[in-house]
Amino acid sequence: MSASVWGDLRNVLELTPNVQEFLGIMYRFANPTRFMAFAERWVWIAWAMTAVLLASALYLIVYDTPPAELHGAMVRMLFIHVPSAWMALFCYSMMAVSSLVSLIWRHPLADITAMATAPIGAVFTALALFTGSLWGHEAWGTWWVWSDNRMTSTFVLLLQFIGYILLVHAFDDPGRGRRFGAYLVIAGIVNVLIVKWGVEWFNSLHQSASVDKDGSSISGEYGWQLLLMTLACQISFVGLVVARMRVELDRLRIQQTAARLRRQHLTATFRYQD
Amino acid sequence: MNDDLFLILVGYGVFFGALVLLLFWTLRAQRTMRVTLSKLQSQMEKGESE
Repeated sequence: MSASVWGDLRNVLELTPNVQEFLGIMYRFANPTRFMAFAERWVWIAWAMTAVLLASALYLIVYDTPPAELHGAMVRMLFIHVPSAWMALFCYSMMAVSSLVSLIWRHPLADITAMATAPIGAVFTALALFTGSLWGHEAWGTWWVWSDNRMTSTFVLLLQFIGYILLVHAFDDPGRGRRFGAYLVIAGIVNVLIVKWGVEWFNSLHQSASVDKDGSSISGEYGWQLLLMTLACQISFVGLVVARMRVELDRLRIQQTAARLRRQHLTATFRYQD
Repeated sequence: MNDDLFLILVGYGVFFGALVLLLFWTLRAQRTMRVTLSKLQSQMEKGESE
């Protein structure tokens, strides 16, 4: 899509009051160094909260989880499988929003956020697939079924995360890599919709959503375990993404410094030849 | 050990192991990037002074 299309989209979006409010916050943190100083000052709170939430969740999972009527003790697998699957979708959605912001407003932190989120999303997706496979062995009597749309589309989601990571680093010009990566993420939203609603649209071994706008199908005695594990994953994500943003920012600085060094070297060579 | 317990231990072991590895890998990458960046910056300062 040409730059003018993204520019037109920007002009239309900036007329909306909510978007203006969002932009106010976004521009306040347009300077990556200022954002990282702010984030790294507060991130320890995320790690402390993660530790408390994980400890509470594990206590409940080990000592206060009655066996399920049908699946017995294996119900415990759901307390890591469901949060992993939710986090996989959350990570991709975050990458999609960051990619849009990067294409429309060229915000310096948007690409960095998408690049920092991708490995975390890949890990959570792999964990959702692995723990789902263990659960499937108990619940459905099979480790894996290619014809099931939830399993296959989640596997495709894993490939999307890996594909994005490979694509953004595949170009000599890092800016070009990030732009193509953003296009790939936006095109891949289709698969996120299939992962989320495929179980409603097609026949599937997988059950439909555990929690939706009409309420939850999860038994009350398992609610706290699931809630605490989900919050722990969500808050640990904040700590992980800030740490990975530091890596990506330093990577960007290395690329810029190396380019300046090359130019300096070339200038020195020409001066010597003169 | 029954099968269910074994699978649960494998599942939780892989889950926490993967998250700890991700954190470890990230912190290691942070250190590597910082060292590389400071080396490049000192090279550039040396080049500028020459």
